[in-house]
Amino acid sequence: MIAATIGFVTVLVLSLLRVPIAVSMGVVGVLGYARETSMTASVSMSARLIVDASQDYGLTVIPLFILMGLFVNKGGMADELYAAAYAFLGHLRGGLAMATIVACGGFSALSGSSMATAATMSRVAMPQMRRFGYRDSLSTGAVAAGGTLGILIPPSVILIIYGLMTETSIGRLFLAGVIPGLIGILLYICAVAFVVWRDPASGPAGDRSGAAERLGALRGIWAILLLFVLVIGGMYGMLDIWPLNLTFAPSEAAGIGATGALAISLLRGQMTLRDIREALTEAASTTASLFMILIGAWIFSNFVNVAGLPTGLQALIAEWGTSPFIVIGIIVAIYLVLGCVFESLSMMLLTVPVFFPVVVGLGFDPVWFGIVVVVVVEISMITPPIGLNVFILKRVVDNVSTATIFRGVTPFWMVDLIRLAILLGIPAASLWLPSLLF
Amino acid sequence: MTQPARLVSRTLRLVAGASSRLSGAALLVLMVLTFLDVFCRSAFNAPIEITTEVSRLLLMVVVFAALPGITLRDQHVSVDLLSGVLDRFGYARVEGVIMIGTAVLLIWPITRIHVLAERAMRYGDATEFLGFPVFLATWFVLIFTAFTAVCFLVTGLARLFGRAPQRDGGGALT
Repeated sequence: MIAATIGFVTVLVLSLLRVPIAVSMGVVGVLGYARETSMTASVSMSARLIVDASQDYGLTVIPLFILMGLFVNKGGMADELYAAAYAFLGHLRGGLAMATIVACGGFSALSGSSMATAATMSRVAMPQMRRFGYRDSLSTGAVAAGGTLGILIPPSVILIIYGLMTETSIGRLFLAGVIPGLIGILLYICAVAFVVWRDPASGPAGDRSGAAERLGALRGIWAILLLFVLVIGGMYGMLDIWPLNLTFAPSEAAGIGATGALAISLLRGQMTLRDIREALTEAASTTASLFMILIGAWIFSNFVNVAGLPTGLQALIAEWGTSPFIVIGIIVAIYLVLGCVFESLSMMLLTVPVFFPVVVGLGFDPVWFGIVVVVVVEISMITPPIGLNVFILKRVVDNVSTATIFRGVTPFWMVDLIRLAILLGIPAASLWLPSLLF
Repeated sequence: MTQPARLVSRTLRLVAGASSRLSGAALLVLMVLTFLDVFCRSAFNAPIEITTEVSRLLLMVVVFAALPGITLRDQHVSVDLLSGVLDRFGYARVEGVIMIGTAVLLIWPITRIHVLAERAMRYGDATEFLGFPVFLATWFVLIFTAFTAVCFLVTGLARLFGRAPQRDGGGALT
């Protein structure tokens, strides 16, 4: 257990020294595994993992969902979502920020990436909010926080990876993310309302849309609804009716979703050949980076297991006689601290092999834990000093300081903690929906 | 940068660019194949039997053909928290050494993957439906891992002896 703990700390130090995370985990994993077994066994295990991981059919879900998100993004579907949300909420004080949150939630239903959601919605919503004189802190805060919904509302790349790593049903995980995602939207809207209540000038009301405009805006989101129903409905057997007879596994849903997003974007004349080529190359590059981290994490995970860290931790907890809820509290606190330093996916891949067996051993539901982990990861995306979504906004939006964005996300960060407390205190918030279908 | 070094760098970039396009093309085929399989199964009750096998091979191409490109562009995910401090102390040179070290360390798995490929060839292993020789797939992984190691080496040398480049990495995936 001591060897594994040293390995864990070494990975943290190497990562802080800017060694690529995949390399940090891989090298420490190989050397640690060699210490526990032999160098031949360790290198053999790593080589086998490198060859096998890239040929695992179940993992095709990753590039295909990434590709779907990119096609949706390049196809300009976010504009219609924002227009629809604006038509219903824009006339309220802070309404544009609320519309941004709702549109982020809608976009998340098609994109599994938090950063893509933040980057896309900032392009769509920021000019409008600036036009109506919104304070930059509120508008950037709303986009950065709304963007985090991308990894919780299905489909979610990070939930897929959690499912694959822990052999938890991706279908159940996706469903479990829906209610916490909706709670997130609701609480973020409350955060906007709170900000404009304290400072009415931060988010003036926009123009009120008439019934015809609202209907027209709703008609504009047909493509998004169609795609969502196709992908999610197909995964849960909702389309298994004559003459469709559509029911598919997550990998197939991802393939259908990507093809559908491409077809819709082409039909609407919003995608060029160059866009398609860029999306394909970008999705492939992201997939390769992700697989490197996955392979590194699996090697590291094998070392951690062979060194007995999870079993050691379980024995330690049993010896202390600590309440399982205190253990969960400590794990969540560790995640919040790591989230200040680590990239979200890497943080999850590094810690899940250690914490998952402990949590499951304590009798907690793996699906519930997955949602808790993702919500904590979401929080880390707007937590200083790393706060990836904040830096995305900084890169995309002109003339706004990082300090302004961090000030803007503070109310959203606070309601995120409330959401986390709800999920920890009421597991049914995430487990009720999957229990209906599985 | 000397003339030969520039030539090596340009050649590597060209090959890595071509392999990135190959990766993107494989992803497109993977998407279309998955769609067709579901369509044929639902509409005609006739799934494409080779889908699983071909998908596995395509996934391998997507991952490994994209690796050299992201290595040359320094797009491996890393933590940028201390970048400001590290760069002030000329850390780019140390990073060059780390990259060269990574290239050297990759020799271990590469040697072992070679053993796996040779074994698969000796045993005549092939996939179930297509009868595709397994050793070819393993050789593909081997070649592109070796190419990635070369890219790590060249990028590391450039860091060590050249000007400190603008970082493109430190990104995130979700």
